[in-house]
This record gives sequence, structure tokens and C-alpha cells, in this order.
Amino acid sequence: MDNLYIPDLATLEQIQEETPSIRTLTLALDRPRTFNCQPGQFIEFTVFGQGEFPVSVAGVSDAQRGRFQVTIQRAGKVTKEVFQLQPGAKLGVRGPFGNGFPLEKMQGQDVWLISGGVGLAALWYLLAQLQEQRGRWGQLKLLYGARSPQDIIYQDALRALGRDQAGPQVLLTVDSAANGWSGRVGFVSQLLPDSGLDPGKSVAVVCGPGPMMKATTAALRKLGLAEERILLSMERRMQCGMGACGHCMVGSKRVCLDGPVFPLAEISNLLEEKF
Amino acid sequence: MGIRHEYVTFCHICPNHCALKAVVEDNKVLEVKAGGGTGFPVHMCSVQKGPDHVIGTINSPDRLTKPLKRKGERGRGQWQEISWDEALDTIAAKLLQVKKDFGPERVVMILGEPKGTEFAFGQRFATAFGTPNVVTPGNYCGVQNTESLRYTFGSRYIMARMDAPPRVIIVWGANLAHTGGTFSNIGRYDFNRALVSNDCKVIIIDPKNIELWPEKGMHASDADYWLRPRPNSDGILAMGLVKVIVEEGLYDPEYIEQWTVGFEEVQKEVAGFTLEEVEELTWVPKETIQEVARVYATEKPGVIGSGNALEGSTQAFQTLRAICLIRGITGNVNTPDGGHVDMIPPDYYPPGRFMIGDMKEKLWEYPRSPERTIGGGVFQLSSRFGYVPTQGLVHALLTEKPYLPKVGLAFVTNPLLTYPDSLATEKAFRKLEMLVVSELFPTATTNIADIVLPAAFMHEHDTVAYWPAWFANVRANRKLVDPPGEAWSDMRMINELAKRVGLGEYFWETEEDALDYLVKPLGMTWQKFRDEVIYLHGKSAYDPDQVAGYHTKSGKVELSCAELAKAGVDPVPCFAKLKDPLRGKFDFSDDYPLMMTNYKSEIFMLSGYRNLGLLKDKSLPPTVYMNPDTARDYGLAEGDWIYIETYKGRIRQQLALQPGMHPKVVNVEFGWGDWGLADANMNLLTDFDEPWDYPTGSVAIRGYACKVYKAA
Amino acid sequence: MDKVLAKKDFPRFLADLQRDHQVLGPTRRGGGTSTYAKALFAPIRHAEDLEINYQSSMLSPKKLLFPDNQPIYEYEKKGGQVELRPAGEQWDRNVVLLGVHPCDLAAIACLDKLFLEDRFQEPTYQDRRGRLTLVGLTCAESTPHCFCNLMGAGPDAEGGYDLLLTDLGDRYFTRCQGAKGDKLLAADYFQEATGADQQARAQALARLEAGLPEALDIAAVVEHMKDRYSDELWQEFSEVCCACGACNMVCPTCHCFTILDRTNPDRSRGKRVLVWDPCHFERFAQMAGNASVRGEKSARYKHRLYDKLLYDPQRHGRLFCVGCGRCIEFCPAHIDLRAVLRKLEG
Repeated sequence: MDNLYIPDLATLEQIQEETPSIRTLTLALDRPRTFNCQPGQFIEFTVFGQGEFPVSVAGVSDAQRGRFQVTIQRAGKVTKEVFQLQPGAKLGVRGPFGNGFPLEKMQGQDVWLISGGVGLAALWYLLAQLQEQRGRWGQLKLLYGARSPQDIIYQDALRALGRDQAGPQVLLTVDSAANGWSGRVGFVSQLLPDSGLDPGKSVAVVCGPGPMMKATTAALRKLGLAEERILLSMERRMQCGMGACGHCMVGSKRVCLDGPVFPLAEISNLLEEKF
Repeated sequence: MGIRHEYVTFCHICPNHCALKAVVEDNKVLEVKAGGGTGFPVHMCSVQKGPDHVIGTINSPDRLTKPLKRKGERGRGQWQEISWDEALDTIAAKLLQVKKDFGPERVVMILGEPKGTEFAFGQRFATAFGTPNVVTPGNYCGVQNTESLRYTFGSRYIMARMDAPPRVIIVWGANLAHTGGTFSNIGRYDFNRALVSNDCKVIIIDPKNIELWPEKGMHASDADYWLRPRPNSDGILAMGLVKVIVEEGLYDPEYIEQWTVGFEEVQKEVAGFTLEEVEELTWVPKETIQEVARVYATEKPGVIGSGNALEGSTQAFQTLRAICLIRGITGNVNTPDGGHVDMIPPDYYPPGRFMIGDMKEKLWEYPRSPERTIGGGVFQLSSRFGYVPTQGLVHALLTEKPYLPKVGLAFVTNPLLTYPDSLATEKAFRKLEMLVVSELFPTATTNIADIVLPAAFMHEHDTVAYWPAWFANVRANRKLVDPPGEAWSDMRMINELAKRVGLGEYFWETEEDALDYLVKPLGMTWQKFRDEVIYLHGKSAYDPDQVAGYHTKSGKVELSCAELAKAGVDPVPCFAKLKDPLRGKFDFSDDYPLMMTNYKSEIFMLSGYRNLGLLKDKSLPPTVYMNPDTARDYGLAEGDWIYIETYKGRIRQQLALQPGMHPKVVNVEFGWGDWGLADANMNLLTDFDEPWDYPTGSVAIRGYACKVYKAA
Repeated sequence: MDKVLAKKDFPRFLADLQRDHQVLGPTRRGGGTSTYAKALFAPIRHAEDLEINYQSSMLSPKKLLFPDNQPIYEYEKKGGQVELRPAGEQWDRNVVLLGVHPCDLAAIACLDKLFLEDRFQEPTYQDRRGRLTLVGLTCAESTPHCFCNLMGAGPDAEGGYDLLLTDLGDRYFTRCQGAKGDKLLAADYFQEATGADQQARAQALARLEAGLPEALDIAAVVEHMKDRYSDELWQEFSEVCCACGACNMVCPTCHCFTILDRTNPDRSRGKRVLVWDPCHFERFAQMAGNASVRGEKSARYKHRLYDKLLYDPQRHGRLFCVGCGRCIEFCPAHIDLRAVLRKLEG
């Protein structure tokens, strides 16, 4: 049988610089296989000789050929090496792993995508799917907060979305800005009270740094959104991706198998993490 | 029922000195365990010998409890119990008579691995009495590491800077799972963390497939690199690593220029040999040497934990100097990104100051000069470090040169097992007119003594614990229970003896007075230190922004050391001489086709505590390790009792097989010999005689060609 | 089907096993260190190699079935390409594991749940488990650390073996489960067990039980744990913990691991190895950016017990503590899990 610890080889086809510390890579599997990936799932990404780390799939440009995108922030030793890579580099890919977003359950609902920093990447493929099957959902809204205008990722695409009448409404905010920024300043959670969210028919999908997630879930609760309607995409250091290694456990949940997407209701009472 | 107390104390069985918690009630120790949660360092060895030896020693029925005087012939084991007064008066009278008739240098202090203050007190007594002859195992324990650090970097307190996780750790002739016996003080738990880190490469240099993490069953063969050098070829291997780093330019030229002296001499020395030669002499493949050199030179911080196993050879000092060169040229000491840093110890009276500090006039009267000292003209550096090499005493007794020592005062040490060449040692010691031994238990050495003094264990009296002094900490070991019978602390013995030889003014009325004196520079009383402070660690000299500097004469890293040259020692390790421990009487022959080295048990401390049930039950019988293929070639199987023979003699141990071990190496266990196992004593295989390591007086205690055969 | 094997026939039984299998059993070989007189599971060539009356081993059979430091694959970068080679060390023969105590049999059953019956299969474990015959052995005596009875894992083994031996002095009572065991029992040196043998076995186990800790209501313990997550008692239990991970490593059911790169200096070739990783280490639960989810040692101590007693049973239908006592024996701070359980029971 297949050894699930051994990655498939992939070729780095394209590098898109999002910010000085964030890049989007387009990868293609060397032995094409159907890259059957649900929005919200993640892969284990290997830089040979440096190590492996989990990263959300940010987009699938050709599922049949196994071509997809990941957006990576320079954070540790291995992600630092990602910034040395040139197109043509050989990398390793295992997965996708995890549960992905429950699209059926979201059907017919307004969907609020709320993200902070590089967390937008985990929602980006979901947004693409939502738009592709636009008729299945109610109102779509994207709320996104970055530290500064320079830290906003997917800038061109966001601009295009903003111009697209049929697209979701996009609300941007930055924690702080120098002159020249005419947009909002403040945390993304502060956008929520005036966002017109109808707790009766909305689903909120949240991904971002820990403090942002906490502030956002608090704000959503205040708006009366039920915990079943708040979906969180959790970030942990999943090492095996298969529920065996123990690193991503939060209370009784194995983020790599039971998640990374959890309704808040499922984890708010987890013994360990308090939201 | 009494009140139950839980006291914090410290294990002294290895240099990690883990904090312990002892539960005491009604003068009985009920439980001893690791002091987790105390805030003091804990790195408990996996066999937990520390707690067991504390509780085992305190409760042992084998303890000596009364002063004893020999009855009848030496070694017959017939004793008469005497009072402390009689014992001390007898000794004092003999000391004064010898001093008057022959001079004070004929009295020899014989010290072992320090346990409490007995070492410092023994040294102080020697100074006051006027004898330069203090024999310690410094000649193969600690000194080569600390002094090579001092000559190279200007400090003995060069520690592993584990505050930032190292990216490479070399463990060289040490076993971190069982002792804190590396001279960079890498704690076991820190090491375990490195073993499961993707950010740290671990390199083990050891002929044996040592266990790295016993609870995991992880061995040297599971590390990133495992090098199995020929025993005592480590200096050659170190120079090979230096050669790769120098010749491949894996150093920072600016740092070398600004912060080192003697780089050109090193370049010249390493140009004089090839890596092929290194491979042939060390048995380590050239490619492995290159890879390890590259890893250590390019990954920082890098730590080398060099252990005690490197110190027992005829080139011990230069071997450790060569390892210091590796640390030095890679900029790993006292630099912002280096793996080692200088520690500044707390300000108490360390043994060096204690034995001399306030007694200068005694030293003028009776200088510790080469002419007065045993082996003084032979060993270039050892008398500066305050000791006579162990085999130097044996040599002097047997040859009566420069003179015949008359009285030996031994404190908790067992030379008849631990000095090289046990037969010669016994013959020599029997020539003493009076041998006094203070001990916890009967030993081979007490057996030939004239007077045996019952010693209190270090947990049976208050004492300052500082050893090993170069780990830059000081600890309060408080009395847990009363000593058994009439046992006294060594401090008390020496205080009382001093009074009787007219040296009372240099000593103290009570033990507490002495302890107050020792901690006085800290600005507190002993009681305050014991009850409120308990432990003080040194301060790190680390500076994240710049090179913290070096306390050498030149203020730089002395790759070539002028001070050594002045003492007649090679300023740069000499490759040709590093081959000496592999030659002549040590080398292979038709009769002796294998190479003996030795290891220390993880259950006991050196030769000690082998009678304690708690520890004895944990230990296999004396065990010799060999590669299974070699054993098969000699018709030997796992579990066989075999003889190991060198040109000096033979011993009997039980064979265990270890795949992966170098096929030519026979690894015997050190420390057996008492308690009915006289024929397992490793030092029946070793030689006390020249050649020696002339700078420090080390002597070969491993690296003898040998043969093996089945014991009938 | 129950039989007896006369001890004088044991060498024949061993020889028969050896014909088709590599036989591993308890030996007295320094317990994985040098001279530590602890049993170690190692190859058995002769009956004398067996330390069949061993009390306990430091390393459990987990070490054999799910090895630490297990190579997964090797890679080599060559001119812009990368070559991968699987590097698992597979057993080339079928293996008999002889003399496994009931607690360790129960632990193997736990690992089976996780590695074979969950949503994935652990490749090495699956391969080795398929080649394994388990010959269990009920204990001759308990150690001061044992508590298998409290966890329902001993002193008798309810399952998880092919054969189960019980020492009856001059003979081994032999119980069998499944086809592998049946086949072994067909040899002529196995005699039918008599009523007297059955009785002797029951007596032996009753004697053993008498030496084990007084009963405990483990269901009540688990029930109370649900309410006491935020209790101060976790702080109290873990105060002396050294966070050394010894309990994790010697535990026969702890299975957490990390994957490391062992590379050459320029990292152009190397291998990835699976290495047991203790959840007691602060770094274990680190996220990107190095914040640890369980920064307090009490949180880590608690997590391990909740995982074994609450989460694993929810997932796999059995307790993941088998009462082997290794975590007590090898804890440098003498933390006694039994005391923790008793406190939670009340």
C-alpha cells in the first residue's frame, strides 16, 4: 500500500510576490493525478533538505493536471527557504488533508468571509468556489484586515473583485496606515457591527491570527450569530496530516482530521481552547 | 511520630548536580526524588542513581562507624576500634615526627573526586602543613578540559550556551544520558530536546554505540553522525577536523584576524599531514571527517561537549587543545552566534582561593616548587594546578625518587582500584609507614590502611557543594540525618587534626564557622545561604551584539599559546606527537590483536557505591562489550565470561554484544574490584609507568592492545 | 482450547517457532543502556537467552512495532531533479514476540486501534503487525509499580494474543486464540489441560491479583475528569514534573512523533526519519510563530491523561492506559498516576 509519509514530487511553476514576506506559489504535480481538493483542506509541503510544513490550498487552477496554488508567509526556518526557491524547483506535496468547508450546510445562506493577514489564503479557494456556484448562496461578503496597506495580499484580485458588480462586497481595513491610505483603519472585527449581518440566515467563515479569531468570534456572538453558524479554520502545526502524530491536538480534536474547519459550537467547549 | 520535612538538596554523583527533594522524618530519609518544581536545575539520569545512592548510603549496613586501628599484618582485615582522640593523636604524632625528621613533603594528601568540602580542606591542610604533595585524579579527570579552555580562551568556565538552541552538538567521549560529564555542561534534558529537533544536528564521537536517550532506546547509531575513532586517536581526529575547516576556508577571516592569535601556526601544522593519514590512524573515513567539519563550521551555534573519556591518554592535554582549536577557529566561544559562553561564578571561596588565598606566608615557608614536589621536574603544568598525578605517587614510592613518602592521608578515595596498574599501586602504598584512610565503606584501600576513619556522607552534615568548580555554581547541601555511629565529616576531622599539629589558627572551631567563612564573600552567613538561597548560578558573559572578549594574556583566542611555549609545552598541538598513544607498548601485536578501551557504569559513581542494594540490583555483573562479528571470530557468545588480557595482566568480565561497535574494540567496564570481584578490576590491564602526558601528568587508562578468550 | 506445555518441552516449542520465525523475547541485556539490569526484547537464539521470569522492561514492544528513529524515505537532489527512495526497514521474516505481559498485549491492542482501524494505516506498523505472532505470558509476580487490574488490562489477558502462557511450576498452561495459535498448539508436546490445570491457573492469577492495588472505579474517574478540567489539582500533580518526557517514551501506548531531516552538510541528500516526540515538551504543541498551545507544564501533563483516559476511549472505544507502571517507575519526580486516579475517583 501507499506510504502516506512519502510525498509526491511537484514542480514550482510560478511565483507571485504578494508582500515582501508573503508569496503565492503555483505548483504542478510531476505525475499528474486528480488533485481532489475541497476548499479549506491543506497540504503538507516539503522543501527537501529543510523540512515540511502544512499550508492551506489557496486555489486549484487545474484539478485534472494537479496544478494548484499555496500562499506562504515567511515565518520560520523552512518557510524562509521557500523564499530562496526559483521556478522549476522540485518540491514535495502530501495530501490534501483535512475536512474542508461544509458547502452543503452553507447552501442558501449569506456567507461572510472574515480573515486577517495571510489567513485570507485559507478562504481564497472557498471564495472561488462560492463565486463559481454563485446561485447556491445568498449574499457574499469578504471582510479582510491586514497590518498595513503593504501587507494586503491578493491586491489585484481584491481590486478586481471590488469592481465586479456580481462579486462579493469587499471590506478592507488595516491596523495602521501612513498617509495615502484612504480606506478604513482598525481591526477587522470592528467592521462587523455595521456589516449588515443577518444572524438568521448567515454563516461566518473566520481565519486569521489567534487574537483576531478571538475578537471576531466575540463580535459575531454579540451580533447574535449562533455558534453553529460560525466556522473557524484552525491553524496548528500538523505534522503527519493523518491524525497519528499528536501535534495538532486541541483538546480532544485532531485538527488535521476533524478540522481544520470547525463550527465554533464544536470547539467552544473544548476543554483547552477558550473562544 | 515526628514531623515530616521535605528538604531540597543536590545529588553529587555526577557534575549535573540535580536538585533533589528528600523526605525526612525522625532522622530517617524516607524518599529521595528529582527536585522538579524547585526552580533549580534537574537533568536526572535515566537510571536515577542519585536518589538511590543517597538513600542507600544513609541506610547501608556496610558503613564504617568507628575509627579503626590495624591489628596484625597489613591487609589481613583485623581491626581494633579506637576512640577519635586516640586516632587523631596517633596520626598527629606521626605527622609531626615525619615533618621534623624528614620534612613536611613526606606527608602526602591523597584526594579523590571531590564530594563536598573534603577536597578543599585537604588542600588547605597540605598548604598549612607544608607539603606540596596533594595527589588528586586531576591528571585524568577534568584538568585537560578546563586547562585547555583556559589556555585557549582565558577561562575555565566555558559553558554550552543552551539559552539559544544549538544547531549542532558534538558529544565527544561523554555520555549525556547518564552523567553531566561534558565540559560544556549540556544538561540531559536540553540534549533530549535537541534529539527531537529538526534544527539541531547531533554528532557522536565514541567507539561505543552509546545510548543517547535510554527511555527511547535511542543510540549513537541513531544520531546524524556517529564516528567511532580508535581509542586515544581523538587528538588526531580533532586535528583532521581543524585541517578541513582551515583548508576549506570554513571560517570567518575577519574574526580570525581580529580575535585570534596563531592562525598561521595552525595552518602550518595542518599542512604537514593528510586526511588519508588521519583516516588510517583514527579509523574514521575521510569523507565523514570532511562532512562533520563542514557541519560544525557552518551551523551555528555549535557546541562541543568533550568528556572525561578524552583525558586518560599520553596526549590528553594536546587532544583537548586540538578540540579547543575547533571551537576557536569557528568562532563558537564568546561570540554573538557562538555555542559557548564564559560564565562568571558566584563570589564564594572556591577551592583554589581557599587552599592558598589567606595563607601566602605558609607558601613562602613551604613553596609548592618543582624541587619539593613529587614529579615536579617531570610534569610541566600539573603543580600549577595544585596536584601530583596519581601514578607520580606510585612511581615515587616504588623508585624512592625524588624521595620516599612516609605518610598518606586519604580522603574518600580508593586508589587500589582507580589508579592505573592496581598491583603496582598496592605494592607502592604498602611502602608507606602510615596510611590513613577516611571512608564511608570498607574498600581495597582501607584494607591495607593503618588507621581507618569513619566518614560522614555528604548528606549527613551541612556542606558547601561546588564541584566541579568550573560549572560556575555553588550549592547548599544540608544535613538530612545524623551520621551513623561515630562517623565525622571530613571538615571536622581536618579541623581537629590541624589543632593537634599546631595549625589550629588556619582552621575553625566548628564546622559552621568554616562554612560561614566559605560563603562570606557572598555577603551572607551559611545559615542564610542554606535556608534561603540554596543555589547560586554563575552569570553569563554573553553579549548578543559583540564578541565578549577573552581573558587570555593576548586578550584573544590563543590558537597558538605563548604561555604554553614558555612552560616548555607545544604552543600548537603537534600532529606527530598525537600519534604517541597509538604506538610502542600501546600498539597492536600478533599477541594482542584487539584494542581495549573502557567505559564507566551508568549505575554507580566511579568505583563507589557498588555494595548498595538499590544500585547493585540495577546493575549487570561486570560487562565487556564487543562487536558480534569479532566475538564470533573468537568463538565467544553473548553472556560468556571472558578474559581480557594486555601485557600487564588479565581480567574477567561477562561478554555483551553490540552491533555497530568497531570490530577491533573491546570495551571493558571500569570500577569493579571490591566486594568479591577483584578479578574484574579494569586497572589490572593498565600501566602506571611512562610515557605520560607530560604537561598534565595524564597516563593511559585506555587504548591498550589486548586479546580475549573464554574464561573456563 | 486450553493446553499445557511441559517446561522440559519448551526448547522444542522454541525450536519449532524458530524454524519459521525470528523469535524476539525478553533478555537480560542492559535494558537498552550498558549495564542496567532491565529486560530488553531482543532476538532469542537459545532457550538460555530468554529472561522469561522478567518483571518488566523499560522499552515496551512498541519499540519493535512502531520503531523510534524510523527511516521513511531518502532523497537526493540531482541536477534540478529530486529522487525519492522509500527507506522503511521491513521485517524480512515472520516474527514471534514471546513472553509479552498482559499489559503490553493490551497496549498492542490500543496501537492496533490507532494505526490499523482509524482513518489511515500506519505503513510500518501495518506491515509488522501482519507478520507478528504474539505469545503472551501472564506475570509471575507484580512489581511495585503495576496497576493493570485498575485499567482492566490484567492480570489475565482477555485477548490480543495468539497464545497465552501461564507458569504453573513444571509446565506452562497455554491458552489460544485464533488460527495462528491453533496451528502452534497442534504440536504433539502440547497436552490437553485438565481441570486441575485450570484450577492451578486460576489460583496463580488470584495470587497475582492479591498483590495488585486495591480496586478503583475507573468509570467514575473518567466521569469526574469531565468536570475537573480547570481544577487546581492538575497544577498540584504536575508541580514536581520535570517535563522530561520519560513517561511518554516508556509508555507502551504513547504514539506521538515528529519527522526529522537527517541531511548531509549542503542538504543535497538525506533521509526523513520518524522520531517519537514527547508531548511533555513545550515545543510539541507549538504553532507557526512559536507560541505553544500548552505552554504550562500542567496543561501538558493534563492533556496526556485526558488523551489516554477520555479522548482515546471516545475515538477508539478503549482506555489507552494499560497500567504497566512504567511511567511511575521511570518518573524522576516519582509522580504516581495511581495516586492521581484515586484522587479523581473520590
